[in-house]
Amino acid sequence: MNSERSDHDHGGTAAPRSGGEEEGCGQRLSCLLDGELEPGECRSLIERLRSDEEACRTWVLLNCVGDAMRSAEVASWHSNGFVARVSAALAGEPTALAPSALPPRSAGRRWLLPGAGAVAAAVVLVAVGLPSRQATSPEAVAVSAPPAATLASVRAPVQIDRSPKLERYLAAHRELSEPALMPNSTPYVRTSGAVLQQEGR
Amino acid sequence: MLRLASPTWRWLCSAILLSAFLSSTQAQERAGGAASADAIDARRPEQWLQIIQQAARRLDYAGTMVYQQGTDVRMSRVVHVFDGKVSHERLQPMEGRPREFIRRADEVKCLIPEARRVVVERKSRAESFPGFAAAGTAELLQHYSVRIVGRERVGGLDCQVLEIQPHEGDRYGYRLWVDRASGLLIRSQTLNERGEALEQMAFADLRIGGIDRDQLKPSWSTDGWKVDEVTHRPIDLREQGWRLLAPSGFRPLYAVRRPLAGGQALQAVYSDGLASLSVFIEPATAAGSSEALPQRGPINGYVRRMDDSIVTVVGEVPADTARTVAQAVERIGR
Repeated sequence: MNSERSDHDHGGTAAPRSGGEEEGCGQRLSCLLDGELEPGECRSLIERLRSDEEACRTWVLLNCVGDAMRSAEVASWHSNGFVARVSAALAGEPTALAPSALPPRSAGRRWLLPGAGAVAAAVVLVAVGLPSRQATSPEAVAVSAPPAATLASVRAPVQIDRSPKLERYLAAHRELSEPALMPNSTPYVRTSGAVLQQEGR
Repeated sequence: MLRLASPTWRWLCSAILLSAFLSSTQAQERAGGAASADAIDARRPEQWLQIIQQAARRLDYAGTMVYQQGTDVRMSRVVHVFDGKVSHERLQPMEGRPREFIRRADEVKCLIPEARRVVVERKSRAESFPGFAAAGTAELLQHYSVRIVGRERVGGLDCQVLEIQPHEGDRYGYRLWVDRASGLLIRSQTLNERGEALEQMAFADLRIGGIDRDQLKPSWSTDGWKVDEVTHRPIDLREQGWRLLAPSGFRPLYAVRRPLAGGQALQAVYSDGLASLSVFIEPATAAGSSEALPQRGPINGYVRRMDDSIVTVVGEVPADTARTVAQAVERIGR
């Protein structure tokens, strides 16, 4: 426990700027990471993460440092594309209606799943820290989901990744596709409300 | 065969059976006269397809549509009214943030109450593509075979069960449950090559006929809301320097320049009468490799990097088809 604490402290002082206010922020972020803040303080700090790019970087750095101290494997989550790849694997989970009819998963896949869930959670944390330059974009509506977000909205912020995502294209495809046999708006049934955040474009 | 493993789905099925009802006489009148049981029995599979298409466009109905894909189950309220010329529709997803989709002919308004925003999507067929109506059933039968596989009661309705099998593995199959009295599609499944359902849509609480037009009104007054129009400008792909090749039977519906994720993209939409796919072409902003997008139910995608462009194919087609279409995209001399 103590060693973990010092990781974060180290991360706090390693924050890009060490002005008094900034350092206090690093400390408080470290406490947030350890779950030592009062709920009210958590909220205000998370609010700040939304708009303060500097604090956001510190937050990511704190997480990286802590993870690196714990294990190289966990730290690799921070490498570019890893989160996206795991998110992709998550989204590609069983698609058939009857899961029992699917071929059994390989042992490797099964092993991946608990970690994948954790990554989804991590992505949310990073998403909360998005700088305010996106505040006017429609995506920002999804990002401002309350902490008690459902799984569906948990996945939405993954779209902040700049790599091409099925969701974005799906919304555009849905607009112009024409179901032959079902009511015309049925393509809209397929996509979640979160997808609509993309509509501003 | 499909096994309904999910308890949620089993519950939903019970809900459908309990709650569906139908004013069948009205429905039959609207569908063009009540057909005798013998006449209905004599219908050929392809006739059924035409009847389904007509019923979906011409009947007035309101109900709850249940959509299932994997463990994901969503319900939406659907109201459909045909005013003699165009169809009007209102769709309310029942989960997630409140949203409503109000459709009138080819225009869809997407209401986003928390942002006080209306996003208007308008389909306008490219003039350079005359006569691209959705593929007729005759054309459809060149790529699929349709057969009547039985008769089942679904949601309290006497349904004809049809199966649509693709001739090739480059597209999916379907299983359809059609209300024999009204011709309305009550349930539909998209099937992979092993006959497993990839997604399913079904009506619950269905009421056919006697729909009050007030039910088409949105839940919120949109006075003072910001209105954003998604503009699609028809383009000629060849003039833009691109040659696309869709699988046999897929006809072009639209070719447009449109906003996408902060930038502009070319989008071409193809349909074979049942499935559709879109090809997006955008300028590449960052380096990356070509890759398949994660599958979602029947929807697959493939991203292909081409020099300074990114080609993305998305549609209700198998993964291999999406990749083949992406790889067939060609730059032509300008």
